[in-house]
Amino acid sequence: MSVRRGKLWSRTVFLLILATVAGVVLLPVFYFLTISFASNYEAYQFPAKIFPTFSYPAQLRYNADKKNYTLLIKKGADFEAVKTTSDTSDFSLYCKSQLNVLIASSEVQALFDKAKGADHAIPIKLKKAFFRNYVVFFILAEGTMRALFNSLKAAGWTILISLVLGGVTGYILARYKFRFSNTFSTGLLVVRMFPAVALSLPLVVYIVRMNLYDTPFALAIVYSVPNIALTAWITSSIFKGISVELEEAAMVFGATRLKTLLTITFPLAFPAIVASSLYAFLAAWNDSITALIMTNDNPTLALLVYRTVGSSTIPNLPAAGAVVLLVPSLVFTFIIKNYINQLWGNVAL
Amino acid sequence: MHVSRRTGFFKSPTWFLVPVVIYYAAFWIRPTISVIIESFTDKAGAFSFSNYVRLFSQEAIRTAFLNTVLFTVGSAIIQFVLAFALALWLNKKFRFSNLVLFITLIPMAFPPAAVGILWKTGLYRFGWINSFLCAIGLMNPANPVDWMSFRNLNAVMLLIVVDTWTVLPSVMIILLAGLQNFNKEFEEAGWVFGANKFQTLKDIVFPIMKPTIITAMILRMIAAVQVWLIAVMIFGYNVVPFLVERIAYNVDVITFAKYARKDAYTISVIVAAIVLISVSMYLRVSGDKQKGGETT
Repeated sequence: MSVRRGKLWSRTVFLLILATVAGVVLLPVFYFLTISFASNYEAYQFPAKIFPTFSYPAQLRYNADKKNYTLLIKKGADFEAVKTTSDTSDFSLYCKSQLNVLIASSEVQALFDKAKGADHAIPIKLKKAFFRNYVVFFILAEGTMRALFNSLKAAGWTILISLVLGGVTGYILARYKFRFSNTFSTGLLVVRMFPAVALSLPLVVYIVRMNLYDTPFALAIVYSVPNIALTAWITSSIFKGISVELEEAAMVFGATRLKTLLTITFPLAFPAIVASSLYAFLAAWNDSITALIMTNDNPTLALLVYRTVGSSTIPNLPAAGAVVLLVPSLVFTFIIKNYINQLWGNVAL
Repeated sequence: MHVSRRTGFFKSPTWFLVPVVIYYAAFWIRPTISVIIESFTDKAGAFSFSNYVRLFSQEAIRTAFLNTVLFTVGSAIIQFVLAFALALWLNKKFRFSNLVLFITLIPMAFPPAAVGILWKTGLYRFGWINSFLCAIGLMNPANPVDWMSFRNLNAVMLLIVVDTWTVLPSVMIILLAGLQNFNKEFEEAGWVFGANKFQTLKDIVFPIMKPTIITAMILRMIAAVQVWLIAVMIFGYNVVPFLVERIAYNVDVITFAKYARKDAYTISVIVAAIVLISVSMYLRVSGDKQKGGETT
């Protein structure tokens, strides 16, 4: 009996911990996603909803004494008057900007006529343009798409520089022992952790001199500093795992060194190369301090999101930007999850 | 003939490291040296400590220093306790434990800018935190708390909570990796000799895990001293000064002030120095760990 009670007790505790962990992680994420889909009207509602809505339960009333129309939206048990106008385009504009509802003036006219005919408020259905915030933030707002491309360009250059320089370094470190190889790998570790902010500041001077200021390529130069070291470290551990005999066997059969590299070593090291590219991507994609220091008119997406937060009071638009910022980050982090384990778990150098 | 010439060239593979060395000389060593020189010279270019003296005479910098220390120590302690508990829990295999691990890792993937917005939408007076507290009946909807009006120590604590939310998974994953490599038999030996769960944890698991724990904590420290974005996104500049926040402030807001550049350079030297000290500690610990691994 007591054994069963103990079991029940530990099971309850277990479920409680499970619920807390899941709640602490998922609640903010759900609320955050919902806000990114919320219209201005919804963003001002309190308490906020945890799941996004697709339409508003609303009513339209004709005020015979003033000859105008009132839009009412359900709030709790009652309906709340949100807009009173007699002008169809004014009504349609309000729907677009505050409610994220796209409704043409002609359709509004039809609704007005219907409301005028009835002697009480008529129920109407306002369907939300679900991705309106995303459209506004990315397509209608000037510069967002360019910031997105800047981010991608910076990430692309970072991957290229890191892979070429870091991959070669990794291969040499794995295959050859030279006089300073230990010092060299320790140096790489120090570079990997060196704060980017201490580099970006003095580098601006050189970057301006090189005529690269305010370009994604200049950002990639800074991002590559730790990432070359990281790539070298990841690839060298993989190259060490690929046996030298395999390469020698290929060369016995007459393959040149280059051909051996391309046909034997490279395909075997491919997962590590992908992982280090994704790391390089994330470093470039997530950064904001280097972009803040090194760009002016050509910000990256992360920097743009940070700046829009400062300038807007309701964060539904920047939230939409942040969700787009989040998606590749989320996908790539989970692809390289096992490498993170290796990277920090087995710290042996 | 052809082959031998090639191997002759490859006999000195160090040649292939030349581009990397050049890259690091140009984009790491050169800027590092120049920033150190900048921080130790006055406007005329003569050697002096005036930048450091001026810096530490500023109230905001002293607060930034204190806040950074508070933040680093506070977040290290909280994150260690929570991450260790979570890692111990997830190390027991149960049904869906992989799914739970997946869920707990989600915040790790958030870019700092996204974390900033997520919590800003929560912390303002009509944000989701108050909405949630009202929904479960812990708060009166008529009188919500304005979290963003928090100042000083309370604000730092709030930022520690926000930071913990996003970095806990990465601390946890290091500790979990350590626990997974951990030989279960040591723990079982403790139980055989009559130790209870707490004693085994304290006398067996902790000492063996010590290098992993220290590694995780040093890595956290390196990241924690560089905190700025969440502070600025949630509270704005000047409210909760941190060291890197001061750099961003000098670069972003008072760009053309007389000493903005010099101050930014000097603070970044201080940040880099803290990071380098942490790295050398890390190297010693990981070196010890490696030696330990060789003997067993």
